[in-house]
Amino acid sequence: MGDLRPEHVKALALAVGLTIADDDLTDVTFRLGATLDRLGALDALDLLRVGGAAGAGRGDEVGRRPGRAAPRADRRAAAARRDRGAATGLPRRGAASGAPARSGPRGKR
Amino acid sequence: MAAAGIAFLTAVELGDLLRRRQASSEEIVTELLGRIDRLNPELGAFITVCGQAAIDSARRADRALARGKPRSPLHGVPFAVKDALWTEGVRTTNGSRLFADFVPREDATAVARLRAAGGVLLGKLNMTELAFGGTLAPPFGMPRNPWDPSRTTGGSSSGSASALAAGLCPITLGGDTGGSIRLPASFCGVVGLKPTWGRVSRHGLMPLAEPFDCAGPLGRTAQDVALALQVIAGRDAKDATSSDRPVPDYARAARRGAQGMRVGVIRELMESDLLDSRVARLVVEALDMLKRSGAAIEEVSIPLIRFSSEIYVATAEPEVAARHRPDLVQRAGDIDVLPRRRLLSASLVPAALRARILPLREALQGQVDGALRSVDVLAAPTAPTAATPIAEPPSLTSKEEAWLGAVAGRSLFTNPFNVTAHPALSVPCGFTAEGLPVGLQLVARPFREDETLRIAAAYQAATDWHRRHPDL
Repeated sequence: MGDLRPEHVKALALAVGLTIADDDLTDVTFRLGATLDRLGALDALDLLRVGGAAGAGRGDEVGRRPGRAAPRADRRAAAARRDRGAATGLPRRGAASGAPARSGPRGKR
Repeated sequence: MAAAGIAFLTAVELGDLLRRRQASSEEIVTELLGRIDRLNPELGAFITVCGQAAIDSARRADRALARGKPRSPLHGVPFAVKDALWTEGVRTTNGSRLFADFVPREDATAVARLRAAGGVLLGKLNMTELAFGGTLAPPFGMPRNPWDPSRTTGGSSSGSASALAAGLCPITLGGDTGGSIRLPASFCGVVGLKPTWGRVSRHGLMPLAEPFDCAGPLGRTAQDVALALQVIAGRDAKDATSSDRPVPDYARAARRGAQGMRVGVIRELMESDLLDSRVARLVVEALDMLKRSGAAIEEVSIPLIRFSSEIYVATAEPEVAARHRPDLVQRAGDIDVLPRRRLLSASLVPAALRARILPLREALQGQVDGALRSVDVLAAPTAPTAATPIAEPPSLTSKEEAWLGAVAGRSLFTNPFNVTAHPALSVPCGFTAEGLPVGLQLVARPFREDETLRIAAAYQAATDWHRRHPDL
């Protein structure tokens, strides 16, 4: 996502009826820029494959559904971390799909 | 009994004393009010002290106890609540000038249930403004950590944790939307439980982001937290989202020990670049202690947990901003600079980006559920560091700094379980070389708060961190 400038943020705020004082503007610009960068970066993930169709019904009262696979990019990142070695030196169990695994995270393929 | 003795007795111990008539509720309340009077000016734990109303309530409890009719194990035991929970006839500020004159006409359900159980309300506890991030100049005084008053208590249930650590009260209530019970519990060395969303009524808890908000108990021991949860949990006709699932016997669960329990350590949090090595060491030592107590410890992986802050920021924060939009438009100057900037930023997050995040939330829930199919409880540090110094944050100079320091902040290890709605508890697991407490976070399947309490109580039975108190 491109760099957000203070004048953009001020104009955006005015468009939705908010006034940002000059003292707050730099800070708000960095916060919003950071948030948009982080959320924009998630476009690299295949979100429709991550969690099923958006708007699918909730499983029960706390809104959970059975375990699902990690996205492909995430599985790659997990494998890289696995290769770095564990922090705790404990026996490992993969939980990306809830299935036991002996050597690290494993999701539905 | 000497005041210092009463100050650090647990709620269980105070209840026993009361039922055996070895102390009266009035004596206990009077001693604690005196201690609050002496220590609160420095610690800033209470916004409002109920004083005479507490003494009157204690006398009523004593009369009931004299008739041999205790309503619960907490009858006559004092408690205090975060100033985000409604209290009938007692000002409820939400830590903000915006609500400086708000006096509710009824109690929050959790407060009403503690009162109905015979609890004695001591007062209202300090918090970060609107329960939304740091506060540079808190309108009702700066909450200070009893272990080192130059350090933060964490937030937003700041006074709920510091009052316990300072021996001002044995039981408190807080609210947790991204870690607001567990973080101050960790920083102040007490136990704090965020229940499953829906386990405890939110009626009368001033809303922040409703799909994430939870009211929950704090205490110095897991046993005390179990007693308080027993009272406040369960269906409430005033909160349609509260669950009608049966409430288990939490105190009994907390007596069962760790033998046979399976604990899964969350690899991604233990390997986080942000985790202080001293905190990591104490958590590993706590896991070793649980192993010696009979639990099986293994490592589990939840890869999507690293995106939890993005999910939280995209879904919870714009809701908070929408709720406070009229305040931003009309009274922005009455909001402290830090929450104001956070609200302004959250107001401008595009809805399209938020909508794209929802599948990721479901996927993270699925991964946490998956991990909890192979173990009973997940474990991780509650916070990446111990309490940090109270200091004016430097002006932001980059987006990365903004993300870590101001947006995602300290809730990186706690917000995942608000996103997924699982119950999560922080129990003290040691002290840094500087004498600052560190918390171990325990997470269970939905509505299995009993399992977090069971592990926490077993750990406290094997350690004495909770018997150490600050020198005040």
